[in-house]
Amino acid sequence: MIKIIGVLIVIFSGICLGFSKAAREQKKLEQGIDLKRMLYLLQSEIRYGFTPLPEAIASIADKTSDEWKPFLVQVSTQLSSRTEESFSSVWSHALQTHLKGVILEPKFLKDLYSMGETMGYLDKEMQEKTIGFAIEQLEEQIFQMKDGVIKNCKMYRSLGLSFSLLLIILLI
Amino acid sequence: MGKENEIFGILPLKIRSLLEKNGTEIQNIQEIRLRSGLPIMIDCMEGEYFLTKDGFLTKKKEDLLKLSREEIRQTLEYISSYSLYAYEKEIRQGFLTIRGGHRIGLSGTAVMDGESVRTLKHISCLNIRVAHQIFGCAQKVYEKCQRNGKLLPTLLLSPPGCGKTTILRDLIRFVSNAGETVSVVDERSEIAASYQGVAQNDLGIRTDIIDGCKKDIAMNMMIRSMAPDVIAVDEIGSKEDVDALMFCAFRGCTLLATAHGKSRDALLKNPYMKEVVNQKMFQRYVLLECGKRPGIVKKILDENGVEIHD
Repeated sequence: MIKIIGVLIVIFSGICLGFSKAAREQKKLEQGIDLKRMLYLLQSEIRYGFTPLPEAIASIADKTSDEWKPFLVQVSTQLSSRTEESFSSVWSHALQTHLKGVILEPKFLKDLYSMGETMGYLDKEMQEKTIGFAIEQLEEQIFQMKDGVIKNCKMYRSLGLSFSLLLIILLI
Repeated sequence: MGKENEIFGILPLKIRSLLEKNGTEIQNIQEIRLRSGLPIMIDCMEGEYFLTKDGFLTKKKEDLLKLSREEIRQTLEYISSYSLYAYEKEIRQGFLTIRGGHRIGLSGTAVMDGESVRTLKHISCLNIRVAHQIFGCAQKVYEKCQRNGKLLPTLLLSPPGCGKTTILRDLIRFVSNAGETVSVVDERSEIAASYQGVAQNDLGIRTDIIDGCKKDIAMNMMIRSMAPDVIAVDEIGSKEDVDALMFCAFRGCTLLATAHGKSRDALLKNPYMKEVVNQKMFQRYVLLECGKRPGIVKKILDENGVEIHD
């Protein structure tokens, strides 16, 4: 009886592990799409409203998912307080504090860091191009990830079950 | 947000902390001039001062704090909220207005696009003009420029920096609170100092404001949409402004405006303003002079150029 319970526990754990790894892969992709949406919103604020960055960022904070809110709020608040020397230092500091552990794909984080380095500088066209470039980068990453994520999800799910079964065979 | 925060908040961190440490009062400051590689000059009502390395104001030219190029860049970042792109139009004009209605004049190297200025680069000189709200400073002007509680068409005249906008702001408040509906055309957001659409300065209870829009377009819009008794506008002088003023006057609207000039006769040198004077569009000319405080009234003339006495 105990053996049967043990076997069930191992199988259940294996399946859970596989599914959680698959969900993590899926989440990476969703985060990429969500970040792209956030950047589109920022681009529109600048393109159509000529809105200064603190206002634009505060405004998009209300329209994006809760995951990015603390980050956007910190950037907006710190920019309004005018206590940092440049936009890039405010941006990178907030990324470090709020998104480093949240964004699962390191390449997305890298894209956001490099976008912050040139924001706020020169004219409207330059801002749009900077954000546009970051969106392109994200799109490329998402495109490359897409097939991989589908395959990986299937693989993790089946691996979870297979490993648990292997473990049972080895133990018994 | 207090006036200290509005002004000190745009200065480089080092200078900001020095001024705050020494408790410099913003009430007395009229202008702060920042120039790359040169000492910081602060114009107060009592005269011109320099900032020392220790953060004290002095009239002596010794041990002065000089501003670096990097600090000018930092100031620009603060002025534009790290978003210079949002002020492209203003930079082309050579000045921009920040929260509180304070005007920042800019100069550097102009980048030309044909006949017009595309932008300014290498901005190296900034002139921060502190906006003041002085309640009651236009009391005497209002008394002489109204008949039976209705404002007469009035033009405030003075050289730059003598307090035209300060008097205009107070006059608008008087007219509005006395019962007339006023539409304020505030192209540079200096009169009302609107921030996100809300006026930061008190302009009276019957005042509607449009800001950030070219004067002639805004005047037409306000006449059509807000049906004002009085239309108030700052710094008129171009052909478009004069055409728009005529449009307003023909629709029975009382004009309240300001213009650069030392006297009524000086206006006649401007071909567009000459027409305004000759057609007697204004029945009162208020001449201001520069002095220790803004808005000192030198004299008030009627439409024929005759001085009005008490």
